[in-house]
Amino acid sequence: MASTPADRKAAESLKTEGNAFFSKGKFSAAIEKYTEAVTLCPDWAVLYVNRGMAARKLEHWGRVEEDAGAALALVGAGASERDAMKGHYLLGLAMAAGGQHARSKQHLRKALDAAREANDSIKDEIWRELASANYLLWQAESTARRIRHGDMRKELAALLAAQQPTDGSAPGANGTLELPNDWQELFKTAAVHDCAVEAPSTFTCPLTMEIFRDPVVTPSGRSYERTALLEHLKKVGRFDPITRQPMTEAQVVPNVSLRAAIELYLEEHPWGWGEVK
Amino acid sequence: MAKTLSSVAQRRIQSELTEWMRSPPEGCCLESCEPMTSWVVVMQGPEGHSRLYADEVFRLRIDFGEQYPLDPPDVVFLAPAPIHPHIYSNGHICLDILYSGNNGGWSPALTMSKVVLSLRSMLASATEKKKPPGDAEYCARVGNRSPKLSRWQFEDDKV
Repeated sequence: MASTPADRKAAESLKTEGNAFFSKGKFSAAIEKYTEAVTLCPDWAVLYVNRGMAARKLEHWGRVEEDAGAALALVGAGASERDAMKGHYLLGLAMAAGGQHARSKQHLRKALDAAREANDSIKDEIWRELASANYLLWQAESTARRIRHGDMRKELAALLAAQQPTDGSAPGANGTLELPNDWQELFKTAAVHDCAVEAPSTFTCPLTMEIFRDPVVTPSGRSYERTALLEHLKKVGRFDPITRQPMTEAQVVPNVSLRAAIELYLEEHPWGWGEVK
Repeated sequence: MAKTLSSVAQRRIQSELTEWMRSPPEGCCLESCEPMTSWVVVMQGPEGHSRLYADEVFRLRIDFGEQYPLDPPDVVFLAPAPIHPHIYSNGHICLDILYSGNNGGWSPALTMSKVVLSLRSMLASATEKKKPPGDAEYCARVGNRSPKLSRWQFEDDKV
């Protein structure tokens, strides 16, 4: 049943009221207004997005998931790209809250790409959430892997010991079973992804000394974390922090290639996500 | 008294500490970094051309503020300070990279490792052991307040 122009008009004013409640932090009241609007215009995606955003503040994750799903279902049927982006974002958050980190990651990734494409200011927030999701995913996977490898080591050691003739030399000095060096090496190599090490300095900002989140490049060709460089230009002086070449905020350009390289690095060194959260 | 630090400052100082431990600047070691916002560095006098300070050991105090690294830290020599044309008897150092502002040379890209190396090379390049002009008057006037409150003139690049 299509909504009439009068319904739409009423829904619009309900949405405005809802947004007013939202910005005052009155999320339950905002949800009520959006719900009223939804009954008038069930095909208007932004209403689900806004209700989902309010439910997110209240951590009503079931509601968030449902509304994100409803908004995404309207893609191709009136939902804007922004609605779709926020739909993925909300769905990603709801999945993360439910411990489904792998699915959360996929939705947050889609949301981030879309937000960057549109240069929407929400991109930084999405990036932090994506970093958290990736970090939690790594923590869970890495813990499970370490336990599994520990068990495998014991099993292997026991198998090897059982095969050896009992000439009295089999058990290690302290009575524990030890693996031959080659095998120990193998386990060490396998553990590389689970051990946090320091990121290469190419991937860290010389000002914050942390892995880049949003690297920007100056006319001198140096890269810095955007927020740190902007603060420097504002508070210390209008010059490149390393080369001291005079420069202004207007000359700051995103370093998209470095950002992509870092994302590749993070894929292979997922513990690094903990630093960019 | 532990200062409350911005998380930016805290992480940055922590990273510098880690880096310092891994590769300390030549001739220097960290005597104390407790609390993290106040370091004491021990510096072996450099050989230099004239070996003016070669047999001496100096101590530097570095105090980080909340705005680090946007603001430079307070860096002073502890008594007895080296006798040098750019170092006052109260430990204040006339070196542009230690100060921000109009003619200051501070940059947040400088690390304490780089700063102490600059100080050490400042000693190494000295040609005579001499106090700065007006030393007694300056020390009497400023006492122990922060060197960052003084108005420095850096145009004299020669030692």
